[in-house]
Amino acid sequence: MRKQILAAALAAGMTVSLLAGCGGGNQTQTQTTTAATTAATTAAQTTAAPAQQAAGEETTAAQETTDGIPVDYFAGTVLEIYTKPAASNDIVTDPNQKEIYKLAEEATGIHVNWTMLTSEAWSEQVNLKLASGDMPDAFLSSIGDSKISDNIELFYDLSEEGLLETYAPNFLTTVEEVYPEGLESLRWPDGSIRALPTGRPETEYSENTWFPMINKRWLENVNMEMPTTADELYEVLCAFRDQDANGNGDPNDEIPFGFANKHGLAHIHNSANYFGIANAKDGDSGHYKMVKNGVVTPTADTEEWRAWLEYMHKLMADGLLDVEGFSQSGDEWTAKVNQDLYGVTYMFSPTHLGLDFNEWEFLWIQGMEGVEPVLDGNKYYDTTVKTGLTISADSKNVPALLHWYNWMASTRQLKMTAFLGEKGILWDEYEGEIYLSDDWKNKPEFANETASTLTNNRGAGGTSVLLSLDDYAYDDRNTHLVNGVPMVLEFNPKDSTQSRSKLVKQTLDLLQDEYIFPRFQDPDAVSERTFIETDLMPMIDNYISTSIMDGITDESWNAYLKDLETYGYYDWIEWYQKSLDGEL
Amino acid sequence: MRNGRRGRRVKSFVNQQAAQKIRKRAKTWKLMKKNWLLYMFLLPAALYIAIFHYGPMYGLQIAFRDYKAVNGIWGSKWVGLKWITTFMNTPRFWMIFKNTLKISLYSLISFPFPIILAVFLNNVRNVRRKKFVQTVTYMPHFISTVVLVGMLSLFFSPRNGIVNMLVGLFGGPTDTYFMGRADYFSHIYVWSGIWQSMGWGSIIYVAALTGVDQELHDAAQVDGANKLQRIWHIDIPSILPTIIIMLILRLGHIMGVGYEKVYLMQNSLNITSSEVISTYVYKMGLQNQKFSYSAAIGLFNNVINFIVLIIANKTADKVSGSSLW
Amino acid sequence: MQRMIRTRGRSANRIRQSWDNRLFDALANTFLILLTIVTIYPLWFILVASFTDYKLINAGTLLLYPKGFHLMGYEKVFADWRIWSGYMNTLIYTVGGTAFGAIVTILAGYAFSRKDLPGSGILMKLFIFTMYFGGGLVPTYLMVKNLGLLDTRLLMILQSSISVHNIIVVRSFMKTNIPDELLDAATIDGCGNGTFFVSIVMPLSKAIFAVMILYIAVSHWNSYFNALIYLTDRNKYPLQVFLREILLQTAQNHEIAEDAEAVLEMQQMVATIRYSVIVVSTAPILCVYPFIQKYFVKGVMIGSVKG
Repeated sequence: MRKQILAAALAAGMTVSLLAGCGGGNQTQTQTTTAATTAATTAAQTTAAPAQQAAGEETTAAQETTDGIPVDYFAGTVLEIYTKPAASNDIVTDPNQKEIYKLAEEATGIHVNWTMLTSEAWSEQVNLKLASGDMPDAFLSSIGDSKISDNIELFYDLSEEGLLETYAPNFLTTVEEVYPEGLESLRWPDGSIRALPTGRPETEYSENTWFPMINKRWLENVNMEMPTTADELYEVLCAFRDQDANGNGDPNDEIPFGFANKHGLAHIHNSANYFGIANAKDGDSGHYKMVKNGVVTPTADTEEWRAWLEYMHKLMADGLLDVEGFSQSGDEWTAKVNQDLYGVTYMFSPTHLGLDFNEWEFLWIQGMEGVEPVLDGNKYYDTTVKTGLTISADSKNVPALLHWYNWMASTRQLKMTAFLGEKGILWDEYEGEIYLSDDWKNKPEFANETASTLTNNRGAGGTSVLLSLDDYAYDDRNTHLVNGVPMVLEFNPKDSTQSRSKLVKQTLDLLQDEYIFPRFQDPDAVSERTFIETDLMPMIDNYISTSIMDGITDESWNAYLKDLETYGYYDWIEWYQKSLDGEL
Repeated sequence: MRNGRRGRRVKSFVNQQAAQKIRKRAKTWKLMKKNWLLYMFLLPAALYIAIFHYGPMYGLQIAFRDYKAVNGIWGSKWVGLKWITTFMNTPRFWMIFKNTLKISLYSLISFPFPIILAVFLNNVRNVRRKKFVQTVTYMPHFISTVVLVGMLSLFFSPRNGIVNMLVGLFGGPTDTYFMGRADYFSHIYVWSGIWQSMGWGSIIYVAALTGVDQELHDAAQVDGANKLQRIWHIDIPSILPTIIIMLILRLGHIMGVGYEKVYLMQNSLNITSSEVISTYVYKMGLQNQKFSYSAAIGLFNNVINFIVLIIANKTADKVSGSSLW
Repeated sequence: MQRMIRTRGRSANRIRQSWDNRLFDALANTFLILLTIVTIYPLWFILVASFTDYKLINAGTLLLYPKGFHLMGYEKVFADWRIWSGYMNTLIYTVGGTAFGAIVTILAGYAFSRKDLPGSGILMKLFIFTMYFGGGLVPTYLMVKNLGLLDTRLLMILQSSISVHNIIVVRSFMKTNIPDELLDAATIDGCGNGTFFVSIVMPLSKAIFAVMILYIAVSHWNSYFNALIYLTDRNKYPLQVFLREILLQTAQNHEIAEDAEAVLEMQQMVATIRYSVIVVSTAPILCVYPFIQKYFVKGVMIGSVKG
């Protein structure tokens, strides 16, 4: 491989020198870097017209390409790439139809043979490809940390000196912008780099939080004030139960407090927030530990934990909780929300199910005296996919692949094209800045489309390139281009993202500061934790549910504390401490 | 002296045996030649089994290795019985094992239902009515598990489920939380299974009943035997070989509680009685690609199944003369 | 041999029903009627739900007829071109696989049913062994790959057409229903194995043939896992894979979609689609059953060879 890079770089350098008739001043450096820098200085001249033509009247790409290698240097190469749709939707669209891949092929001359799979087929096929040794050049979409760490030799080690610098300099620039630790945060425990990130980073946006919401109309109907303590909430819920709170004439159909453990994050765990226990970003089990002052602290054996369960049991015993919450599916929960049966429940946004924004309000109470409530989620939230691109160790086309990948990351415009499709539909440019655009809504050809289908059909979303924070102002969801001019959109209470964004801003201070930053870990250590979790998590979960149903006695509490020990709860806490300290 | 005579006797016995062997071999050879066509009949199936089942059989060993794709099956580290012992040492092993066994044994009561249905159907004279009942009862087989479990949840809802309503009609409590009670889990699992598979399972017996000699029925009728007697003495004995074979096959899946339905019916309340080996393996695999671990547990399961099959087969052979081999 | 085929008509001589027979009939009929009711309501529920407004489905209201007649589920399912290509592929795989599987199974089942076939016992044991022990997915995949069958229609037809379970069932049926005396008589008449199979075994095995066709056809019709593993060309995907895709698509992460209208639309569809999908995927295979049922009629079998 090393030889190949050198040869390619050398060849590139020579070609460029010949064409441009300059360079050669930096002979003291290594050959690789020489070639790269030489090439860089002249790239603009050699990366000629094709990309420019393809992109239309506006110059999107060619001249800004700082790859260092002539754009069409690898023309004629054929790459085999496996991919799947971006996570938010599983609609399969042919990658060859997508603007960015068309542009990339026209500019670089590199052809890609795509295999497009659904998420279900994806994990099976990837396993088989790894096992059979019959690997494509690359997987462009995450295959998961554990598959990489278990088979680390199957993936090309990109930490090779000069490789990324030569073939993916634009990409490296983005990495430096996105991750505080730069390239270091992409290293595996053995120091190698086996995967490159894709996706869009976000800060101050707790993607995985569902908010506790209360129905204001119901409150008005029962003539009560917004509760602020556990006791007040109890009173309100009793009123919901006893009166015709939803005003449909039937005083008995109200379910004061709804949840669904099998659906999204409408989980009963969330109610522990009021008792100072909150999830820090990794699923259900996140509630069983918290990071406080750099120490991973157990939560599932505390007095707060017990107080929470006893309070919830009181609600259950008095008919205030949805008894089906433990078993019902998302469909059933949705049906109940839609039928106006819940007074309090958890939602992604106040308009989650097309509900009225003005009707639902964030419900925040203090569960216990002296304990500060905390909301699920973290202030910093990394939404990039760190294993977005993996390259086979057997691939003969690593430089070409990197070059191709780098080309798509060479300008903001290209990155946006990769993300959301061609310019002028979902995004546009105004005075050098990139904005989301609402103008497509007025175009007859898109009359029947929604933003999400457009994104899916035209862009490749999180499975294409790495975007930096500055590429477009995603956070400010209210600013869009309307008729080509940026405008602060009037708040639309029916827009799910807008209403969520508003709520996120409102509740930012309730989030935790500390959490365990995800890193690539030693496979044996991960497997050790998995073994503990497969038994521990169902045990705790069962205790939570049975105590809410049947209550807690000192006897059952002590037996539970003993179980925690035998099931390895404290080993599990220790594991995360090591992870936090970077020892795994 | 004695020795010599004995020796001679032994010798002649050996000779006899050898002669018998030769004769037998000749007979076998003759049979094989005569029935060559039957071997041709077996050939396609045998080829298929050889290629698609025995060809990949070497993969069994990953249960005893720490399989990693990068090393391949032969190159992965040999760990012996590590996975089995790991499994047996997990804190919930006995609970999981007991649940699996309990649900499996309980499921066995579903066995006679298709037979009863087939016999009753066989007794229906009106052809159209018969076909109608047959078609209706076999349709649940086509309902996907997700929808089945969804319907169970709706019908058994403590809020306004039809089952609670019916219980209420008979004066019982109307708010039983069936899906959330650990003690109801196995009942709902097994009986919904009977509901779903009874009609489908009866097909084979309906087919077998076509082989019953009608003359026997006529004769018995003349002798004054009533329907039940005729079923008991004519129908059942003539489909008994089929019943026994189906029973042996069923027993050979004693540990085979599938994961999908259990997994979908599972929740944090009933988990103490609903966690079975297959759901455990599924969860393990979901979190981490533990090929070897799940292969080892699968093997553990199948060894038990296979042993039960052998015992069932022996017993059936002795008792009834029908057996798999 | 001459009096092989009996007719049904002969048994129709009426004998007066005695009280115990009537009691039996009453019990049997009650059982069948109850069973039909218990079965038909959920089936009816599925059909009704596939036309009903999603809000009412999961609310647990007793559905007796469609409320707020909706075709949304069906529109969504049929709007997709994939459905048609999927139907086509499934049809090819089912017809091809069933023809292949049923013939091989019947042949093997018959051969195994014969007592005078040296070596068949060992072979049977080898077959049964594979019901319990297998190499797993990865070696099987490698085998398929080495055979050059990856991503081919042929594989979809061959794979899972033959099951040892079915062979055993056929064998046991033949053992009981083709008496040894028949073979002896035929052999004395100078009838070889081939002739015997075609002219005697086949006509006597219509019922089991029908059962095998049904078993294999249904398993092909419902299978999707093999397609997921061995096919990458979407033009070859069977119906079930597309139906799963449609379900997963609508069920997945709809919170993240951009606008409320889209979210609402998807939410509405999930529940309804799930039921429509069952109707769409089951209706064709249900039509096979009546054709099969024809062969389950009593009396097609011989009486005996006693005479």
